[in-house]
Amino acid sequence: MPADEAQLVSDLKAGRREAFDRMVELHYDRLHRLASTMTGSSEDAADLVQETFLAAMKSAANFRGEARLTTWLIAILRNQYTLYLRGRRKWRFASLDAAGGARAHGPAPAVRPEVVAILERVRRLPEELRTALVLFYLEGMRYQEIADAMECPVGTIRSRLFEARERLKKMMEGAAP
Amino acid sequence: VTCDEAIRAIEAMIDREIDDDERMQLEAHLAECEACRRETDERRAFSDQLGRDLDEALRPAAGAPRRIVFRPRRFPWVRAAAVIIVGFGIGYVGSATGFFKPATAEAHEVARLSALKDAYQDRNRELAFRVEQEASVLDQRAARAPEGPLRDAVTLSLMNVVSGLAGGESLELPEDPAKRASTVARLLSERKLSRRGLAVQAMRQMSPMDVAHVENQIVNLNGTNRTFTELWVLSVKSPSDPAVTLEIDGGAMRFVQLQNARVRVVAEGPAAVSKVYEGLNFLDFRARYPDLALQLRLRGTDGNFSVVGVEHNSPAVESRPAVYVPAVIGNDSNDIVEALTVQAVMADCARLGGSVDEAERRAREVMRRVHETTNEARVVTADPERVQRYLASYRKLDGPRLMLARERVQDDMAAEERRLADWEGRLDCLRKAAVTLDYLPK
Repeated sequence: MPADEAQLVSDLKAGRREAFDRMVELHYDRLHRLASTMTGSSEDAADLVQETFLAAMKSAANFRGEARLTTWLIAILRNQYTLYLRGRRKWRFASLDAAGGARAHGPAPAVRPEVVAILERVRRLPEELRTALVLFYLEGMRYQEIADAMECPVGTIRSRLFEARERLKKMMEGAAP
Repeated sequence: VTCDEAIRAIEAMIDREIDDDERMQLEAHLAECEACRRETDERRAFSDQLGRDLDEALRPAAGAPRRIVFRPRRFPWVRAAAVIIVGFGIGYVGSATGFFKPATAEAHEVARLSALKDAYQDRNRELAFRVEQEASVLDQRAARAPEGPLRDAVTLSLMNVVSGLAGGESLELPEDPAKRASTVARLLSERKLSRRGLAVQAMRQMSPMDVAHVENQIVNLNGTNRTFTELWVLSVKSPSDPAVTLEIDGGAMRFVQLQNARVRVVAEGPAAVSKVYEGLNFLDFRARYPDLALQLRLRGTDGNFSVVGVEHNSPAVESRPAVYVPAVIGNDSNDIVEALTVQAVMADCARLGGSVDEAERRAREVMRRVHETTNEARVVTADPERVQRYLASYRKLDGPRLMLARERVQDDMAAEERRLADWEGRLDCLRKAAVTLDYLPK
């Protein structure tokens, strides 16, 4: 663990408010990106990230410091996501209201339609595959780091990434003329 | 190295996660295999593009709000953390010097967590029993329901739950297709729901080769088993001939509904490049392409629908919800119940000659009822007597042992929580399916 991170962890354990702010500043965007692919909605993702930071804050004293702060936070986020699913099992399909055709959620309007389609396909992947994919491509994490965050062997991450890309390819072939 | 092995190694190489041995073997293979060299280029291009697309799709918007509101004055967690840290400190000193007993606060917390874990276990046993019971009742009700879309929908929801009851067990099917089919039919007819779940899961291993043999077994089945097997056969046969083709905007767009209920829209772009949008069925299409669906004013469901305000019927479309079968046997179907309900209610309305408007109105009504069927996510609390019993033994532990005990209890509790979410999900699915069945016209 780098020295500044070790300091941050130690400050978090001591319950210092500045440490909490610093943790949010450093990790908010990456957790939010991951949460967005989990929930499919920016609003829900913000809630999920908030719950993650609050849970991290509550259990900071138990953080053993063997893992990186990032991997620890991602593990908490995944636990929070399980709780989120318990509370929310809503209809996944679009609204039936004619006026409800507008997107309830989704990426910013500037994003190209092809990219929106990719994101929709990624969201259809099972959570383990999706998370591995996002951590690899967006966070630039190594297999080992992803394995730590997802609490599984490195070989599993390699298979999950392979499987995720295979499934995406199949979905794209299915959508092609 | 075979080509299959090489492909996995190629991905690892593209990800820069290949070790030297594997790289050498792969390079030797690539030197001789042109197909794998081509595969490497294609996979690299795909991976690069995927990375760029994900980055574009999930780039944080400038000035996006960071919704962590943190206004601490005196936060309980600061005090709690301090108590725990002080507690650990005393525990360590105590165990080192032998003067002190470990922190009572920590022992109390571990005792509380242990009692909570027990409460989760009790609740899981209770829910497992209820799921079995309610599934049996729903099974009998569905078997008595008249044949039609509602019975199909309830059967699929039920089999979705039943499939989960098989747990981690798996079944080796015989090689011979006729024997495979009879094994599955025999298991499906068993009384025990978990055995039937095993049969549902085993259907994953079957292919179009098995269809004729499975079809032969249908006469031996009854109730929901029969309905489910019919749907499986339909889902595998899956005809892909057009049932309805409509030209829109003078041919600039072509709307096609295939006989397996898939919806396809082909739009001619500049320089006659066509773009194809496809969904499993109406609902799925609308969910995938809400803007396009709105633009085309798509309404209704498979057999009975309207496009740009004009109503159509596609009698050739088999509107039984066979498209959901893969999700049911794949056990990957948490959210299908609502979709099935809408599909069933709308198809039922269409069958009775209702208009698209009427079908959509009824679907909204039944969705409202389904959403009102809230799941029973009850707060699980620790029994104070159990806390006291645990406390009596944890008090005897020194600091480090107490910490280990706490970690183990937390792991166990996380596993129980996951199980609880799973059982609650199944119970939820059964109750929603029961609402669908209540909807049957009397």
